[in-house]
Formats: sequence, structure tokens, C-alpha cells
Amino acid sequence: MFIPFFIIPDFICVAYLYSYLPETRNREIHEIVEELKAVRGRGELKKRVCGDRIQPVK
Amino acid sequence: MLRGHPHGLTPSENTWIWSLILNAVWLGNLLPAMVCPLFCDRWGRRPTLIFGSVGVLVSNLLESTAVLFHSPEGLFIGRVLGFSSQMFNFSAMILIIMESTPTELRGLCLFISGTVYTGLMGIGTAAGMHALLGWSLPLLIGFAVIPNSIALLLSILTPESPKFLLLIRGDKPAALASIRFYQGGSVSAEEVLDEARKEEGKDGDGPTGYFSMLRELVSHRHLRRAMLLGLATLQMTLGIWPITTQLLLAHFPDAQAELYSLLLFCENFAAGLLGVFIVQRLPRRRLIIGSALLSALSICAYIAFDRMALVWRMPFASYGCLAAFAVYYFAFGVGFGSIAYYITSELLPQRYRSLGQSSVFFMFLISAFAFSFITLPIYEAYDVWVGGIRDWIGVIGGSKSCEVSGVHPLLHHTRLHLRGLPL
Repeated sequence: MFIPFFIIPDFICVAYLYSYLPETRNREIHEIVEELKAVRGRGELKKRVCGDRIQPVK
Repeated sequence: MLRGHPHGLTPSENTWIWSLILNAVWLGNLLPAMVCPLFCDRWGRRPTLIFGSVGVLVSNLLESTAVLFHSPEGLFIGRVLGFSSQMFNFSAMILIIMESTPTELRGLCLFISGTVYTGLMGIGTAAGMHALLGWSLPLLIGFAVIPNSIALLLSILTPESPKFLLLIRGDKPAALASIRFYQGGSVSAEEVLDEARKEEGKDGDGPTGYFSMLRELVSHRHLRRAMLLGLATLQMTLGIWPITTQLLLAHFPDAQAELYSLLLFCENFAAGLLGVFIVQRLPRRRLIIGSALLSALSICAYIAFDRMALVWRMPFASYGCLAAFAVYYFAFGVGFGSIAYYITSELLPQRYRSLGQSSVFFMFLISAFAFSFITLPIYEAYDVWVGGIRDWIGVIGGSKSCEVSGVHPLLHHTRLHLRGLPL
């Protein structure tokens, strides 16, 4: 019974976090919010974080 | 308790009153969850913090008096007041730490507060042992007046959040003074405020009404996504933790299972201390996702070892279950367990931070209530393994009958009690 109640929701949450969670360490809130606005999901990332800066994907 | 009952309460009546008093946590937490932003945004973070601290202190006194005078109604009201006040206190505290610390120390300060909370929970649990204060309920509850009085004093001495003063109240001199208090004289307060102003951005022109902002939170993709990310991280904190002892009892004798539970709790706290050291060294994204994935995999491993031990009778597999638990508690303590409670506030701009954070807590509390309600019944009825569709129907029926007959007290030892949110 743990599979439908814990494991499936947990993996869905991990997948969602992997797809959309921006880096927040050592970053100003406005930078984090800007990245959230820019990110459209995995495969459509407009920007990515390189160190502490946001750089366009090549 | 004999009022109108010459022979005392029946077991059923006793269970209902016990259940009501234990369920005060949900009533107390849910009620203020959505009201809190009104206080934090209009009144201020600091007054909300003080308000919460006063409420906690009053609830302590009320609960002690109620126990002394044998009044279950007083105890229930005291608990609801206590949990409500703690929700105000908790929300305001996260916002103040979030908005006043330097960017490079923000995560560390918030992580420390979460770990200290876990440690204090451990002290509270230990104080409840019979050898310490467990022999006297009024003393056990009343003892909390001392740390809560100190907390109230510190709340009064805490200055208002600089970002609140600048961006919501528009009081720049007070914001500068607040920055100097929190970050010292060595930083340029003007530069810090300039950086803070960028947070307003286009969102600064948005609505200010409660319901209009709530609508914006749902309709704007980046705000909605920030809340969903916060909720997903919090959702990961709901797991098999509340029934650790019950699970271990299937594999070990009573005393051994209880000892292992205690050791796992200590391990969780130790992992939290380790987390304090690594939270500023590892990218936050990697820490959250890595620890969350490790936690999910450890539950998978637990199920595998559980089957090996109970179905295939492999004796070493019981220790595999224990090892899986050890990994689970480690992952929880070192990473997402503490971060989950503040990540939402890191993802939202100033204007929506308080309301967004409270909305996520509100949704999480409903989810946590549902999970805490069903975890033990489904385990007792159907073990850790998944059954067929008939089992599912049975679970739904079983949880409803549990609702009618009164809830098992252990159901209330949820993770909420042990992490971030108030007990």
C-alpha cells in the first residue's frame, strides 16, 4: 500500500522539482523570480543557471 | 471528569474527547493559515510575531490551568489557541529571517532555525518521559512558560523586516535602520535596499486586495509554479515517518523497536546539523532533489527488505529495513526536511510572499491531515504491499470507519509535529 500512497506521489514530486526548480543559493529573489518566469519546462528551457549568473542556453 | 457521569466516562466518550484534543492541531493550524497574510502584510511581520508569541504564552497558561482544574474544554481551547498562535509565529518568523538576512546567509539562517526546531522537539519529547516531567502534566505543560516568555521578549526586541518596511510600508529610513541592525555597519545599506527594490519589478504594480492577489497567484504562471514547487517539496515530507515504531515492530521486539526509533530521531537531528554545514556549500536545487530522490528510493528499499523478511523469511532483511530507515531519516534531515518549509518564500516576490506561503501551508495541511489519517489504518489493514482493487475499496471504507469510531492516537504523531510546523 505504500506504493500508491508514498512512492508514486514522491516520484511525481521529484520529477516536477527536477523540471522546474530554479537554483536559489546565493541568488537575489528578483533573479530567482526572473528565472521562474523564463523557464517553460524541461526541453524548453530558455535560460539556465551557470554559477551565480543566468546565461542563455547555447 | 465525573460531571453528570456517576461512573465516569465510557471508553467511547473518553476516545472522543481524546481525539478532539489531539485534533486541535489541525483546527488550530488551518484556521490562521489563510488569515496570517492579512496580519503579516497589513500589520507587519514583527507585530504578527509578537502577537503569536503572546498567544502561545497565554495558551500555555490556559492549558496548565485547565489540567489543574480538570477541565477538558479548557485544555482543548488552550491547544487550539496554542496551535493558531504558533502558525502566526512560524509564518512571521520565516518572513523576517527571509527578508532580513544577507543573500549569501539566507539559506543557512533558515536551515538553522529548522534544525533548532527539531532539536527542541526532541527536548520536548524527552521532557515528557516519566523520569523527567512526565509524572506531572501541569508541570510538563507549565514548564513551557519559561522558554515561551524568553521567546516573547526576543520577539519584542526583533526589528521589523527591512524589505517589508521599504517595499510595503514605503519607510526608507526605518528600512535602512533595520538593515544596519541585521547586517551590521560594514555593508552598504543603500545597496541592499537598491537590490531589494528590484524585487518589486512589474509585480509591484499588481493588486493589493487579498482576493485579487489570490487570483493573481493562481493565474500567473510563475507565481503558480512557485507555489506548486513549494507544495511538491512539502509533500515529500509526508512519508512513513509517523509510523516508524509500528513498522519496526514488525521486525524487532518492542524494546528494540523503540530504541531504534529513538536512535533514528537522533540521526535525523545529527543529519540536520550536517545540513547546516553543507546548505551553503552545495547548490540548493541539487540538495533538495538529491535528498528527495534518496528518500523515495529508501522507501522502495524498505518495501523490498520488508517483503524479504516477512514473505521469504530472510533474517538479515530486517536489518535491511532498519538501514533503509536510516537512509530515509538522513535524507530528510540533511536536505529537504528543513528546506521544504522556506523554499516557497524564496521563489515568490515580496508582494506575494506572505499570501503565497500561507496558501501553500494551507494546502499542505489538508494533504498532511489526509495522509496522517490513513497511514496507520492502511498499514494495519494491508501491510506495506499494494493489493487489488478490493483492497482499495477496503481502505476507503476502513478510513471512514476509523473516522466514526475515533482516531488512533498514534495517527497524530505526524511529521508536522517533528518538523517546521508547530506542534
